[in-house]
Amino acid sequence: MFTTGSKLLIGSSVFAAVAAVVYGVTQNEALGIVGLVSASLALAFLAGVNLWAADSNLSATDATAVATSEASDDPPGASIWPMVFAVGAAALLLGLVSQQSIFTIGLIILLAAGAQWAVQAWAESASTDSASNAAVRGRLANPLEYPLLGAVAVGGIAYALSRVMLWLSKTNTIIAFVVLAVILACFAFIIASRPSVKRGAIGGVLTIGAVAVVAGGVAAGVDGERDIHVHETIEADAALVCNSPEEFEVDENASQTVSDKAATYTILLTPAGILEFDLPGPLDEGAKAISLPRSNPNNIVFRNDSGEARRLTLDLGPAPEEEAGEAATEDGHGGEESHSEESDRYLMCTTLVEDGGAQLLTVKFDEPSFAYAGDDEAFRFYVPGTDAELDVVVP
Amino acid sequence: MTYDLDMSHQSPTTKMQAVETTTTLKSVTSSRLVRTLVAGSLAMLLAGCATDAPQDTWKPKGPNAQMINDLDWVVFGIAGIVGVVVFGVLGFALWKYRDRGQPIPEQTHGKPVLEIGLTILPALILVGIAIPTVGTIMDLAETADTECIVNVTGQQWWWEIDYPVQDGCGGIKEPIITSGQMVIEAGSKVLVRGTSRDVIHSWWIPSLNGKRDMVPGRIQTVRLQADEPGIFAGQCTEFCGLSHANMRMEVIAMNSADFAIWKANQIQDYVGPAEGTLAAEGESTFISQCSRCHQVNGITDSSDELIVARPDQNVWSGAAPNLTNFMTRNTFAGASWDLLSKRCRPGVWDAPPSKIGAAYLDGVTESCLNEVGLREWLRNAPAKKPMYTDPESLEATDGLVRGMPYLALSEDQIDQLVAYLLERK
Repeated sequence: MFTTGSKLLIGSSVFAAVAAVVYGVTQNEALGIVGLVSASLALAFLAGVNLWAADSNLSATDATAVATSEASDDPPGASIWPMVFAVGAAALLLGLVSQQSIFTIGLIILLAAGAQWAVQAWAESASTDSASNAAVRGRLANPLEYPLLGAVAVGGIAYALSRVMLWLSKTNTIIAFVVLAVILACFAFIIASRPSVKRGAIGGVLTIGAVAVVAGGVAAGVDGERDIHVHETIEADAALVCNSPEEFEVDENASQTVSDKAATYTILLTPAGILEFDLPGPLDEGAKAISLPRSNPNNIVFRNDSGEARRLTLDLGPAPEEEAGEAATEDGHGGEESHSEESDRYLMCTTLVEDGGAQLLTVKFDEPSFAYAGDDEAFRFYVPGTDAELDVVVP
Repeated sequence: MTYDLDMSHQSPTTKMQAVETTTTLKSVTSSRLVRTLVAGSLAMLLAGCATDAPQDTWKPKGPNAQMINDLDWVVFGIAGIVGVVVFGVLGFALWKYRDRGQPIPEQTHGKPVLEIGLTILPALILVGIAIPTVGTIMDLAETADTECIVNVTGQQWWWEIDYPVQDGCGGIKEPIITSGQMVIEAGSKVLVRGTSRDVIHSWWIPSLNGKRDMVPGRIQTVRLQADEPGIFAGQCTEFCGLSHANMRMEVIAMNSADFAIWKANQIQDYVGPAEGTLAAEGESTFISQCSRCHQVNGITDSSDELIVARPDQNVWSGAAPNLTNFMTRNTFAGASWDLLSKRCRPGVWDAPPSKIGAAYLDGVTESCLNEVGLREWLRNAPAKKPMYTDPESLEATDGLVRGMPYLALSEDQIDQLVAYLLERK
């Protein structure tokens, strides 16, 4: 009835229990009693498990029993998931006392490793055949794993490419990626024209390429992005700057080009010293006023073709009272805007634009132009040092 | 209901009954499917017969929409032929080579002539479609020949329309600003310059041209031209939030003389209501309740100071409809509701081209006002048109509303406002 193993465990458990009694009577010391009682209970538990499983009660000479008993099943394969799970748990705890990002990463690792561990354990109980179990696991897990891993791989490569693009100069980026595209196209043609090329060779080349891209991305990321010009602006007296054709410190580092990031209003200072504006449609030529919408940021590009360095200044009306100041504006790239004690007007302007250069001004009108009735109070553009001016109508 | 179709434990008679049941079930299911398909197809077919379909893309009323329509027929014609050929060949192959127990024929790999041919043929078809398509796109993008510029600005959930100072449009000496309804001269080539104050919207008057997205920070253009006077409906076609479906607009085309009258009327000086009238009380109510956001050009306060609305301080988009000539339009609240009563509406909307301008210029009179609709709006605007105006839900917009809020107006105040607004013509 009792197997040899069970007898050993039962005997040990009883022995530990007796020893606990003897120890308690003779020594009157609690710690030893607790230890012996614990040992007795643990051994009793193991004995119970052994009796329930009854898998060690085999005769070494019974070949059939040896081949068919549960003890003869393949042991579970080695699994990395308990270790990854432990790493996740550690990161989770570490994150709790340090950074939320570590906590998040730990949680993701914990959940992913837990899921993989559970699926693997479930699959390994499906049958006694390891290969069959692996197939069972694959049927359940692969439909999730492949898209996820694919997304991670594509995301990683895209991110690495973006680091490379930000590391290279604009021109070199274009050249590099044109070359890369050509190489990929040639590679695709070669594969298509030679079906006999082994899959392993193709996979190897693609793997090397992916590793190279990721390595390049890491290297580029560590080295940092290319220098991206920052429009330098400093605190300055806009009333002084915007009314002057002279160069100030604020003008020194201003970019003279504007990216074509959006359809904008264009105001041009012509060689004849006239301010013209350009909008879609034929009807604005020669107009004395430009209509700009209210309550909407207007991107205005000032192009200077006058032959001299000039700035475009926008007069946003009188500022007799503090609240009137709220009527104007958002500062644009390189624009200066303020109400100075030396001026009773709200002004904003571009930095000094060289001949042939351009500068962007962004302005939002919160009030219509009729709020400032009278010719000397209306909104208008002008160019300091010249007679060029252009009225602004805000409906 | 479930059916036991496992016949292994049943007698032959029972099995036969089960087979009959299965056959009947299949027959019933098949019959229902056919009936559903036929009903659905008929419904779609009959929908094409709708007469009250002002946004029918197949009824161009101007040369720009006509160009699109002409291109559609070419593309649909070619696509139809391709579709018939492809499905015909597919059906023939399915029928001719259906499984009849015959052995699988010899399998071949590759047929260069056929493969190259079936690559070149679609390419040629696409080139054939591309030529008129690109030509039409270029023609529709042309701006140099336009004769009138109108700015449109989208915001949640209405269109602002303004006419900049220009020599075009027959000459505009002062800016005109309105909302919901764009008035143009029939036959004139109008260039719409559009943008948005908040999210992307899309301007579409199907009978006059195609769609054009209106994007914050960009100026988009679209041509409009109506062959003859009429009212042409449209709506925003880029999902733009809660009341996207209630963001509509109309283009009203009228003859040159009527258009000149309309322009002159839009820039008339403000004339306040006579003292002691209900409208005069309405003016005071308007100043206290509405003028924070809505501009009425020329209105002054008790100190004779010009009142300038500051919607930017109250509304997320920074704008609210200008109500100076409110009753010259015949829709309100994003052109989604009529200002004209049902009795009077057909007199304008269904007027013949020769009379539509005059009918529109009459504006909305007291006897023709859709008073119920306007009162509902004034009583509780968010209940009529879903908007983000709940004071407790404005954290994301820093307390600014998106739409017209509930103003808790009394019935007396509503009476006063209706009387005042009736004079805004």
